[in-house]
Amino acid sequence: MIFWKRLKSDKVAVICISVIIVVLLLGIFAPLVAPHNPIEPHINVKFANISLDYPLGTDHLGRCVLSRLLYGIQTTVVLALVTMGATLLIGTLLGVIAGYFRGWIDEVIMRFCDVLLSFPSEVMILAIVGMLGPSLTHVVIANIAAKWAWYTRMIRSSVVQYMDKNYIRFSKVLGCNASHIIRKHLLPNVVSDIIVLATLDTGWVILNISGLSFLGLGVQAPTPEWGMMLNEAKNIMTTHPAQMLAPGLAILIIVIAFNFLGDSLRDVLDPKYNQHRAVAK
Amino acid sequence: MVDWKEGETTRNYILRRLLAIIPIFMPNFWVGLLFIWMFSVKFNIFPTSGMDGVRSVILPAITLSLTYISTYARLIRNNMIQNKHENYVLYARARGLKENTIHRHIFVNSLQSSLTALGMSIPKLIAGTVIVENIFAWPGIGRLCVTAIFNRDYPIIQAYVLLMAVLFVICNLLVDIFSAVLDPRLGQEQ
Amino acid sequence: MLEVKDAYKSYFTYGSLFSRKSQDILRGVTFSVGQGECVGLIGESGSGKSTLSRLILGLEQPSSGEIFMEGESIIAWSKSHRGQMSVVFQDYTTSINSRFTVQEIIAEPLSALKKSDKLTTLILELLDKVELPTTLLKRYPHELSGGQLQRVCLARSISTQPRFIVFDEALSSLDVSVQSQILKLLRNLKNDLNMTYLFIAHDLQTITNLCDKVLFLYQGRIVEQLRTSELFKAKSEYAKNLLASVIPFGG
Ligand SMILES: Nc1ncnc2c1ncn2[C@@H]1O[C@H](COP(=O)(O)OP(=O)(O)OP(=O)(O)O)[C@@H](O)[C@H]1O
Ligand SMILES: [Mg+2]
Repeated sequence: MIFWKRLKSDKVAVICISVIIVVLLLGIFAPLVAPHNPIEPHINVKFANISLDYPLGTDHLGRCVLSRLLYGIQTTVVLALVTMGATLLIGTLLGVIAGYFRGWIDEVIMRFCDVLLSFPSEVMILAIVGMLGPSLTHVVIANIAAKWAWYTRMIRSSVVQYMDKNYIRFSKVLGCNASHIIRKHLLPNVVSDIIVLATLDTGWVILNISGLSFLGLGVQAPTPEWGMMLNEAKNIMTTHPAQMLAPGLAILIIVIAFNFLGDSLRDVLDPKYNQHRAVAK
Repeated sequence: MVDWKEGETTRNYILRRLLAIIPIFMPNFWVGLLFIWMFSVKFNIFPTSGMDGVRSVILPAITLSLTYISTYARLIRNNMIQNKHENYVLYARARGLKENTIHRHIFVNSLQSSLTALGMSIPKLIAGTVIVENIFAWPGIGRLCVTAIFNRDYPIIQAYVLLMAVLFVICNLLVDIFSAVLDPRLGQEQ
Repeated sequence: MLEVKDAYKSYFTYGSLFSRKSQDILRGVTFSVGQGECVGLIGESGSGKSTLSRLILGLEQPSSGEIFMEGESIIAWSKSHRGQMSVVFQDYTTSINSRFTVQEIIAEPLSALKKSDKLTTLILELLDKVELPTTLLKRYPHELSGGQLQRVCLARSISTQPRFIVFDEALSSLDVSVQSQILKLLRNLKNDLNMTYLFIAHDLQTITNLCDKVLFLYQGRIVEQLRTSELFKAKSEYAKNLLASVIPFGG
């Protein structure tokens, strides 16, 4: 497909996708890749230096930092993707329903979104976690709850815009049913509009999950998570400052990868792509 | 892609973009820790935590604003580039106004969208204070809220949320008023 | 076949936040089109031709008045007669989903209505009919010229062999030789399959070439209805002026 060809010619995008895929694979196969158990403490080897046995050293309980980082992928990155996926699913479903059928159902969905959107999402997340109690599941739920209204509205406005296109009118004149129009015309266009935002937003979700875990509102004690690791590093900063490096860098790299990928996708999906390219060269 | 300069290699391009983007995406809980380590533990310039005097405000303030400084710098720069091509600039040049005056006009007009963005980032700032207060051990309402969450102290959580919502509304109102002052068109158009 | 009875259409234009003005585009349009007939609709730019066609296609509802197809209301008719009405829109750039190749574009109506046997041969035939080389099949819309796109739209519109087609300035961006070729094609189709056309244009020549009857739309009304052979009998001011400007030696 033309899209893949363009994407492949964008070096930044290729690098970002590779980084993300490698990270995800490492996370999924963490039990195979990780050299040690990430949870079991070994007090006798605490704060070990970098060595072949402990590639990134060990933390204050003698746990292998690399192993904890790898297992942390499962919590942070995978859950961020799950959050985004669920948000997109809800947003697309409601947005397409509202934008395609219009009328009262549109009115109901949109007014509900208005109510949710009048409230800052960061505070909403805090409020939901506060009400449900600190846990990773609740952080994910809170993130979805705070975001879906926003996506619903974006998708609806994109649907409304496409409904005005003549090719959809043509399908309607011909008597094609709603599912054909939605599947063939609306979804591909709408998804490519929204995927850029979703990719950019994934970075923020990762920051949010690890931020809340840093505060202790997300992941609970022994489970490895990057924000949580930073929190543990905070307490021993004066004696072992190097502990802060690995988890912080890990977050930074993955967030930047998602953001660069989002920017590249925006360019690749831009209809005026070729002109841009011409200027760029 | 748009700001790809002519004759620039891909490597330089990526590096330049990385430099611009890193401050935006450094998790602020990490930045805070790095600052404390650097300026408090290593060089002992600022206090690590607590709230006494101006010196203890500096680190938290920088931590909190780092993201926004670079975001707004980029936003204003983009806007100024856009504004330069507007007709009023051309007209002002044609009338022979001084370059300085013209630049001032461009700058004021470019502030417009940053102001709107400011209204939107206030909730982010508020959420940010929760983390910063935690790192620098400030007895603020953000930390109060987190403590309340741990203690399941629902009334305090509710009060916090209500307060934030009111604050959010007030900030947006102020931003709207300032926008109307900066750009008279907004007030009249409706 | 088609009957438009006293159709009115007005759009709201929003002046400011609280006031909105309604602007009458069509003010009592009445005419009918017989089975197998080809009717030309002519009128100046902005007179409401495209608006009228949208009403006929059932894409918008008239503010008042009724539109019937074979005695049924247009909405009911198009539900029970899928694929029997078709259209070529004036703006061909948004008529085509830019994610589809030419092949997919032309195949879309057929596959959507599940009439997909012998699809490829049909597509090749259609391409041939609108004078497009088969090399275009795998191309994307942005790789085609405007005229080529318009012909793709034409091919797509006749692919289901509809009984009623609206052409909204369908030939306006084609050069004369291709135009005459398409006109010939449309005439043949009409004769072979007994198709009914509503042909919108703002120049008289193509219309007189193809149509049996001409409607003159002026200021939201049909001011004159004439058979093509009796154009010289025009009585209304607008029709007379138009005829005089096109055929200076006229009746
Ligand atoms: N959706 C709409 N909302 C408001 N006004 C509209 C809308 N659609 C059309 N109009 C107005 O209706 C009038 C008729 O438009 P229409 O497109 O039917 O003209 P037309 O006869 O097809 O012209 P042309 O020959 O240029 O295609 C125009 O004045 C236009 O501004
Ligand atoms: Mg028109």
